[in-house]
Amino acid sequence: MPKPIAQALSRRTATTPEASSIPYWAWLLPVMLVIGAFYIYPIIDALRLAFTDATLTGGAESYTVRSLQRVLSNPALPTILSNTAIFTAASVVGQQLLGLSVALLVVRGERHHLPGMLVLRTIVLAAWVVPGIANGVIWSMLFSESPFGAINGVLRLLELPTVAWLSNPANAMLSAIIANVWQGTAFSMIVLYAALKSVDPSLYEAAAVDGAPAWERFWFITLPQLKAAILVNSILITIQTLNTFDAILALTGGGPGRATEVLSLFAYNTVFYQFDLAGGSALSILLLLISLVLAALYMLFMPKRDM
Amino acid sequence: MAPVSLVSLGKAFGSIEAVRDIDLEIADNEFVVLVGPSGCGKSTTLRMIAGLETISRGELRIGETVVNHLSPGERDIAMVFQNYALYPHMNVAQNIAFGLRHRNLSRAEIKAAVLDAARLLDIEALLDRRPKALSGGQRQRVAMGRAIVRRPKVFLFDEPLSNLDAKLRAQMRIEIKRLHQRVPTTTIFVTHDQVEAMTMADRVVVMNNGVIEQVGTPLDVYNKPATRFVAEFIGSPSMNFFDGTLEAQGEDLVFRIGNGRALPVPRARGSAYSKHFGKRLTLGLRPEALSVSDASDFTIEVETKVVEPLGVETIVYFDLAGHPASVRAAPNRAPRAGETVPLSFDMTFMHLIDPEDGSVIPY
Amino acid sequence: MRMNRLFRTATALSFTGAVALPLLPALAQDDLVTRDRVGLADAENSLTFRLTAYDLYSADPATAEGFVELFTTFINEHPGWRIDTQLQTGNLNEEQARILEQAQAGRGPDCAMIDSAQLATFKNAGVLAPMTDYFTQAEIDDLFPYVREAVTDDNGDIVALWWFTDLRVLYRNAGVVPDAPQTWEETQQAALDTVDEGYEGLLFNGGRTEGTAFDWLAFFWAQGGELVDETGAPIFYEGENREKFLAALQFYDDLVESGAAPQRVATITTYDDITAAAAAGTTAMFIGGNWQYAQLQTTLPVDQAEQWQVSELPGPTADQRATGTGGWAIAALSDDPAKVEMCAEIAKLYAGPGNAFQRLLPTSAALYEEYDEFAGPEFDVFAAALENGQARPGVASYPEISNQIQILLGEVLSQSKEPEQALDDAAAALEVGSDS
Ligand SMILES: Nc1ncnc2c1ncn2[C@@H]1O[C@H](COP(=O)(O)OP(=O)(O)O)[C@@H](O)[C@H]1O
Ligand SMILES: [Mg+2]
Repeated sequence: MPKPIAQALSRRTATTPEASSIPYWAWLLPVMLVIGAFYIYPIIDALRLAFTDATLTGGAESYTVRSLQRVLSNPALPTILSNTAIFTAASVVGQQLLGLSVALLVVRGERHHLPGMLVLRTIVLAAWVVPGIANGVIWSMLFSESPFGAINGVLRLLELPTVAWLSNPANAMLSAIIANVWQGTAFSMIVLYAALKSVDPSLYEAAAVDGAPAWERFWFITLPQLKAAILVNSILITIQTLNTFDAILALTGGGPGRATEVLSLFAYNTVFYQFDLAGGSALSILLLLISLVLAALYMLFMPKRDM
Repeated sequence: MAPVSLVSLGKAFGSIEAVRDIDLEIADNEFVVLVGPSGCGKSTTLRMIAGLETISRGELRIGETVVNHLSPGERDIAMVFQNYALYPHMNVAQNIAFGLRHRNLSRAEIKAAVLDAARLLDIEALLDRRPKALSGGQRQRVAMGRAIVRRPKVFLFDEPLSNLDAKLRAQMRIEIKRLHQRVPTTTIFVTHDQVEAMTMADRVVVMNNGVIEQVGTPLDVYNKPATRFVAEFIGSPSMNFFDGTLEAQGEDLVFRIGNGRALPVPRARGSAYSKHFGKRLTLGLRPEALSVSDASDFTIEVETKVVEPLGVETIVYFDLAGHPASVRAAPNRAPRAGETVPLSFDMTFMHLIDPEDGSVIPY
Repeated sequence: MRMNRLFRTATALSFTGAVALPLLPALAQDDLVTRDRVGLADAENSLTFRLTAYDLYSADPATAEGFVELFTTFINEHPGWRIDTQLQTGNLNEEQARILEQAQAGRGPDCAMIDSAQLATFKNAGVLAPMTDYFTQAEIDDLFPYVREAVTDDNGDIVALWWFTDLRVLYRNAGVVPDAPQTWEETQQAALDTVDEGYEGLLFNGGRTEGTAFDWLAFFWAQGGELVDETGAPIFYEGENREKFLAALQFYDDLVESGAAPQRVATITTYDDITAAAAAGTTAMFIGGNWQYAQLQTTLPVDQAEQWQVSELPGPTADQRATGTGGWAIAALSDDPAKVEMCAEIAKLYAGPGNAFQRLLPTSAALYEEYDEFAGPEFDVFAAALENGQARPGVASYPEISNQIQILLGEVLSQSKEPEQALDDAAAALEVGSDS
C-alpha cells in the first residue's frame, strides 16, 4: 500500500467513532472462521489421529501412542529425513539462485529495452503451471537412461559419456532436485522480479556516484533490498518443497531403494500403501512441525520494520 | 574544486532531443544554479555531468579531463538526489561512509571523516539511526553529509529542497549556502524555483525547452533578461506585458498600448530603439515599475481585481488593455478590490520585446 | 497389474483427463449410455458403479464403442434399471483407499472395480456383500483355484468376481534368441548374448512400483518360498525362506552385475517403458505381462511382431516355475440384494463378453472354450503358465511387504547394498511396522 493511503486509512480508523465501538477482532471473524474450518480443523484431526491406531481399513479406533512410537522408531526415518533435508535445502538454494538470475536478466533486459523479455517471463512461468506429476513425467523422459533417453541421447551425439541420472542413488537425488528447481524457479523469479522492480532506482545511481562497481551495487543495494523478499520466498519454497511428492513419485517413485524418498512421499505411502492412517497422520504432523520451525527460523532473520 | 566545462553538450532519448547545444563554463568553486520549468532538461544536463546519463553530443570536462566516457564513480563528483536516495538498510554513519570504501582509509580515518561531516551538518546525534527514523530535513542533511564527506571536485544537487515544507526549505537554502562558504566546492544546483535560483546562485542558468536562455548573475538576469521567457520566469509576481507599437511623438518616442494610451519612452533609449520604429512590440514592466498614485504627470485609471496582502507589501491585480497585470503597493496605501485607482508608470525600467523571436531589444 | 500399468500411463497422459472427452458427443448420441449413467434417466431402480477408465469410458474410441454396445444390450436385458457410473481417477492406490474409506462410512458405491491386489484388504474390512446366490455351483467350481480362494471369505461365501487375470512371462525376440531359456542361468547367458549383438539385455521393472516386487516374486515362489505364515506375519526373511529369497535376489543382482541387464532397470517403473524399448528394437528380451503381447502385435509391423514370442518365466531349474497373477475384481458394497444381484450381473458381463472383446484372460477354464477370441497360440502358453500361477497373499500386510521388496530390489539393483544387508534392513523395517 502506498504510504499516503496507509496513513490516510490509519487516520480514518483512529478517528471514526463507529469504527472504534466494534471490537477489533470482529473484522477478522470471517477470515478466522474460514481458516478454522479449512485449515485448523484438519490439523487438529490429524493430530488426534496420530494418537490413535486408525487405519484406512477401518475397525474401531482406540487412543494409543504406539503409532507415534512406531513411526518415530522406523529405521528408515533417518534416511527419509536426511533425503528431505538435502532435497529441500538444495531446492531452496537452487530456486533462489536461478530465480534471482532470471529476474535480474529480465529486469536488465527491460531496462535496455531488449525485445523478448515478456516471452522469457512467460516461458519461465509456463514451467510453473505444469502440474507436479507432469513435471515428473517430463523429466523422467529427459533423464531416461534408455537408448532413446533425451539428455543421454544428446551426450551420446556429443560423444560424451552418458550419465546414470536415475539408476544411481546419488544422481537420482540430484535429478529430483533439478526437476523440482526447474519447476519452482518461475515462482522465485516472479517474487524476486517484483521485489527488484520496487527497488528505488536512485539507490543504484547514488551508489554509482559513490563509486560502487556493479558487483558492489548488487551486494550492498540489491541483496539487502531483496532480503525480505528472499526470506519470504525461502519460507514459501521450503514449505512447498517439503510438501512435494507428486513430481518425485512420477520421476523415481522414491527410488532406487529409498534414495529419493522424502518425508511427504513417505507419509503418502504410509497412508495409501499401508493404509496406516495413524502413522501417516503422525508423519504429517512431523512435517508440519518441521515447516513451522523452519518458518520461525527464517522469521528471526526478517528485517525489522524500519527497513 | 575544479572548473567544469560543457561544450555543445546534447542529449537525445531516441528521436527526442531533450537537451541541446549546452555551452557553459563553470569556474572553480562557483555556485551555479540551473533553473527552468519542469521538463526543460535541467536534470538531464545534471545527470550527464554526473555520468548517470550518457552524453549524446559534445564534450564535458571536469578540471582538465574530458570525462564523457568515465563512470560516475571515476568522475569524483557527489550528488544529492531529490528523494535523497539514502540506503535504507544502512544507518546514517554507514550511509555517509559508503563512498569512502575505495579510498584506502583506515577504520579510524573513516570514522573521523564521518564525524567531521556529521559535525558540519549538525547530525552527530543521528549517526546510529536508520533513514526511516529521520525527518525530511534530517535526511536532507544526511544526503549532504554523504556528498561532502568525500570532498569531491563537484557537488551536484537535483531539486534537493522540493520535498521540504516552505519554512524548512528557506532554512536549508541558507545552510547550503553557508556550507558552500565553509567548504568551497564547484556546485551545480538544479531547481525549478526561481527564488532558490536567485537567492543561492553565483550565476543563474535559465533553461527552457532543452536550451540555455540566459546565463548571468541573479541581478543580471533579473534586471537585464535576454528573452521574454527569462523576463517572465524570473521574478514574482511576474513581469507585466503589454502589446503595442513604438511611435514618434514629436521629438520623443512613445509606446502606444492596445487601448490607445501612449506611454512615454525615456530619451536615453532613443538610439537603441530607433530601428524598431513603427513595429508591433511588447512592453515589459515589472510590478515595481508601476505604482498606485497620481503623483506623476502621466497616469492611467484602472479597476483593481484582486488584492493580495503579503504583510511587507500588497500585490494589486488588474487588467490593462486586455492584459492581466499587477503592481506592488505599500500595505497602508493599498486600494481595495474593485476600486478604480490611478497608476503611475516608471518607464526607466521598461523592456521592449520583439514578439517575433521573443528577444529583449538591447539598450 | 494390467490396470496398474494402464493407470500409470493414464497419469502420464491424463493431467489432461481431457483425453477421453472428445468421446462425449459420441456417447451422448446414445440415450442409454452417457457420461454418468447407463440406462434411462427415469428408471425405477438404480445402483452406483465405480469403474476405471479403460473400458466403457476408454480413451480409445474402439474400446469405448465396443463397451457402449455391450452395456446397451445389457441394460435392455435389465429393464427398469439404471447404472449410475462413477469414474475412478488414474491414481490407483488413492482410489482404492477412497472406496474402502467411503464404504466403511456407508457412503461407498453399490458396486465397484477392485484391484485383485487389494481384495484381501477389502475382504478383511468386511465391506463386501456375499454374491454366492447369484452364481451356479458350476460357475464357482470352474474358477482357477487361486482365484476361487481369493474371492471366498471365511464363511465360504463368494464376495467378488475376479473377472480377468494376468500373468508374467518371458518375452524374447526369436530372431535373436531362437530358444526360450528355461533356467536363470540360461536366461542370463541368452541375455549376455543379446548384449554382444548390441542390445540392452534383459529388461524388467526394477523401480519403486508394485510391478517390480510382483514380477520378481515369481522367482521366489518358483523355489517354494513363502512370504507370510497362516497368521499373515512376514516370514520370508527367516530360515529356508531366507535362502530362497536371497537366491532369487542373487539372480537379479547377477543379471545387472554381469551386464545381462542394464543398470537402468532400477529406474523402470512401468511396463510401457519396456514395451517402448521392445518396439524400438533396443532390447531382445524382457520380463513382462501377458497384455504386452497384444500391444506388440498392434504396434509393430507384422514381420517384426511375429518375432516376439512368449515363454514361461525361467526358474532356478527347468521344473521349478511360478508366475505372479493379478487382475481385477468386481464386488458389491451394498446391503440391498437387488443391487448385489445387479452387481454380479455386471461382473459376469465383464468376465464373459467383456474379456472376449478386450482379449483379457478369463479366470475360469470354460470361458477359454466358449469364445473364439482365445484361440491364438499365445493363449496356450498363458494357460499352461497359469497352472503355476500365484496370487498375492491375501493379507493386509502385503502392500507394505511389497513396498519393502521394491526398496530392497532398488538397493540391490543400483548396487548400493548387498542382498543380505538389503534383506536385513527390510526385515527390520517390517518388524517395527508389525509390532502394533
Ligand atoms: N529516460 C528518458 N527517456 C526519455 N525521455 C526522457 C528521459 N528522461 C528525461 N526525458 C525527457 O527529457 C526532457 C527533460 O527532462 P528532465 O531533464 O528530467 O527535465 P527537468 O529536470 O528539467 O524537469 C523531458 O521532456 C523528459 O520527458
Ligand atoms: Mg528534474
